[in-house]
Amino acid sequence: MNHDQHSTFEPGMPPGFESLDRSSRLPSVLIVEDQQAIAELLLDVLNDSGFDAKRAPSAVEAAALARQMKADVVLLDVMMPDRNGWDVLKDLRADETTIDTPVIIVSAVYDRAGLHALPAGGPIRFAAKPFDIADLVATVTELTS
Amino acid sequence: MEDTILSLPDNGPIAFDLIDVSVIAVPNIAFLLRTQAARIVANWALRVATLPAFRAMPELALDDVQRHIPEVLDMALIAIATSDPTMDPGPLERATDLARSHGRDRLLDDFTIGDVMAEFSALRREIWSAIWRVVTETPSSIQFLQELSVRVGETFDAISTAAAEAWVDAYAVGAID
Repeated sequence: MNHDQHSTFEPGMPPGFESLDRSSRLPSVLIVEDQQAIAELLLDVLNDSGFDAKRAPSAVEAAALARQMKADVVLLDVMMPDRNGWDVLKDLRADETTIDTPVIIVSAVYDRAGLHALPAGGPIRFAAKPFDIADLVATVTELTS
Repeated sequence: MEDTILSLPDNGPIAFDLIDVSVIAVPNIAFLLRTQAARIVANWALRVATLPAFRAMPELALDDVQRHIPEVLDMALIAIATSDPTMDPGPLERATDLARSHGRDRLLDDFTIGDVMAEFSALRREIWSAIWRVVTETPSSIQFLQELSVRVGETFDAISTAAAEAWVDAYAVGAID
């Protein structure tokens, strides 16, 4: 049996992150958020709104996962304990697979330190916390259509 | 007219237009807000998540952040819609009972009474945000908005007070231990 012929599983991917044929799958969103409750909320809302949303287990793994799952949009918190969101953004822009991936920076007013030196690449949007959940869904829709 | 379309759990797709308040009464707007409950609660959760007490507990699950809030909101909106709360005190009593449970549980979660007050303040704010999404302020809407403001104010004063009193009562009997 040829396991390679129809398999969509890529070795090394965490469960749930298996990549599918881009032409037939739902738009994918990678959520990089340290607060469990916010991540759950975003997952619920985005998955119910027709997206394939996944949460990165940590900010450290975020850029690699965005590359592996070929994320259509990355939702990126800024203030995280293991890695700053601005550094994750630099990683995304430094990789040719994710350099053009749209990123939504989820940030409170007081932590917009990285705004002055945004790396070149795909579109970047900002969602200032607290934001309206419907506006966020509309922004993700716009970036994936 | 502006259309807003939202797809959220439980409610399904929601579409609504700005409302001419000269042809709508407070009970109608309260029931209309119930169709936005999922959005109100989601925005509330996003708002309270930025509070220092919640940021200090990043592992807190969504259910633990929300606790009784979805039910409190539902009962509060029914209470606001009730034409005469003295004739039908049930919804407000149910809302304040749930708020008391919320206040007691928050003490066990190690939240301060200030955190509890901030939660209910955020909920009141999200209700007004929802109101402004569907109501335009015009000269003809002033009386309606005044009546609505009184209803929302009285309802949320009662709810916030109940939650705060329950927190204090639980603290007094040593529930924090």
